[in-house]
Amino acid sequence: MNILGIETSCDETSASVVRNGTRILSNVVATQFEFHERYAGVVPEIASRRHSEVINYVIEEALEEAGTGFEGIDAVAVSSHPGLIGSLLVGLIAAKTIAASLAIPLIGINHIEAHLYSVHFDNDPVYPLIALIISGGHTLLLRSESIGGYEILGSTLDDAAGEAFDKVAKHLGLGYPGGPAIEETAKKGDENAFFFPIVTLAGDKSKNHPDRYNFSYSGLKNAVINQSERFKTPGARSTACDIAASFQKAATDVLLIKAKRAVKDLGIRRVAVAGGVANNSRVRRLFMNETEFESYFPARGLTQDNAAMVAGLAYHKHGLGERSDLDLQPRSRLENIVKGKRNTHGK
Amino acid sequence: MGSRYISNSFEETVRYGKALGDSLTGGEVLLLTGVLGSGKTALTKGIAESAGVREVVTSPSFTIMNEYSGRLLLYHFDFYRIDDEAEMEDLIGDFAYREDAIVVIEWGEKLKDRLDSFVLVNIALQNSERIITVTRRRA
Repeated sequence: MNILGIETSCDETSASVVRNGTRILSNVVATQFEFHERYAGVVPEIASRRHSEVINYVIEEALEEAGTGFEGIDAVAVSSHPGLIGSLLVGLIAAKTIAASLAIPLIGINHIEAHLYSVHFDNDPVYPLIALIISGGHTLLLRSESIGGYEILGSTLDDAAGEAFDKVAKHLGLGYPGGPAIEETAKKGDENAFFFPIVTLAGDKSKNHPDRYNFSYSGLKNAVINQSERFKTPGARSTACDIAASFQKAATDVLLIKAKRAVKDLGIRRVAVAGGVANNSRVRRLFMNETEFESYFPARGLTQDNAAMVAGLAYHKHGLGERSDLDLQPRSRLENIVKGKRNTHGK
Repeated sequence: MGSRYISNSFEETVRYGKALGDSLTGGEVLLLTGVLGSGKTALTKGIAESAGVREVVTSPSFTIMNEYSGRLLLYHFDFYRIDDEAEMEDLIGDFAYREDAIVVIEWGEKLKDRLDSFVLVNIALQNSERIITVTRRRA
């Protein structure tokens, strides 16, 4: 069974054909990277306008590369949430049009579930598992019982992990995207030159604390950008490389701390790590070297937003009989993350 | 007419945001200005609390807009990655000045010359203090 996947939730316009959930026949990603780089991270055009300019070419290329054409497609899947409404709409309209004109099933996909699914192309993960979705827009710690389902254990209370990388990179003048720029610069630095706070949130060591699995990156961002001198190790060098390395250490150590905590609390010894920040070599090293659990990472080409993960997950949804109506609507948010479970506003 | 407040912590910034939110009735557009890490999102957390939003307010730098609902709707924009003011106007077009909604915009100072009416909230960093000034401009 061949499924055409479409992904337009943020900056990337992507289309992919995946056979039977794991065999990627094509995965075309039109990234706005070249524009972003020129403007140091700024989106120069309305994201949705760019999506609509390139989506037809991206879909055609994906079908051609896969060798299926439209006639070889059995179902079409599309990211419907979360994301920027205007951007999601472009993918949805394309997917609905294809589904209606070919009279094939339409399957709306949760972008976060799709990221989690991305580990399936190169691993054979055993469920239940703990999952960490870390990207520019998301920082989520999940428990997943089976493919395509999850429960949110924790999330960021402010900035996303990838956002912190981008903002610190911009502050240090390292360019865009910030993740690879920080990683590259950090190689030449001393990660102990600064002791930036590893933000685990006050009180979260106790088992029932609402912030036990939550993250916060704005404090670290602020420490690096506005008060780095305060955290300097006496006598250490303080070049941009040292700041980048020390920041990277603090930003990634906390991911392992929280994941390990979930592993221990829930007795699940498997962790999937996905999303753009899963590309970071320090994150990979930290998790791969861990002996208390087994970890699953996507191939490096599948960490960022892409349509293969959408098409792959859709195969399983299709098998479960899930179908979407042609009036499928985009949604900006994931399900509501309600406080009370988390201590964000002091109560 | 303007007001000035000094915050010494994240919590104080959130609390001030809540007080500011209490003075809003819906239909307002707030432009938040201040350097990276000055507390714009923290202030928005307070505004959201005042608006009766129960969800966690997170940075919309990547998502560009997050929406919340409580007593009032809250549309939280972040134009950190957007450079063009016409585009900013396009993006807020459907949401600004709705009577049932507050629009909060981070990194939207370029809109100052294009909007008739807004509340400008500037957060200046001075040592460890945040000096928050609020000015209202009405058409």
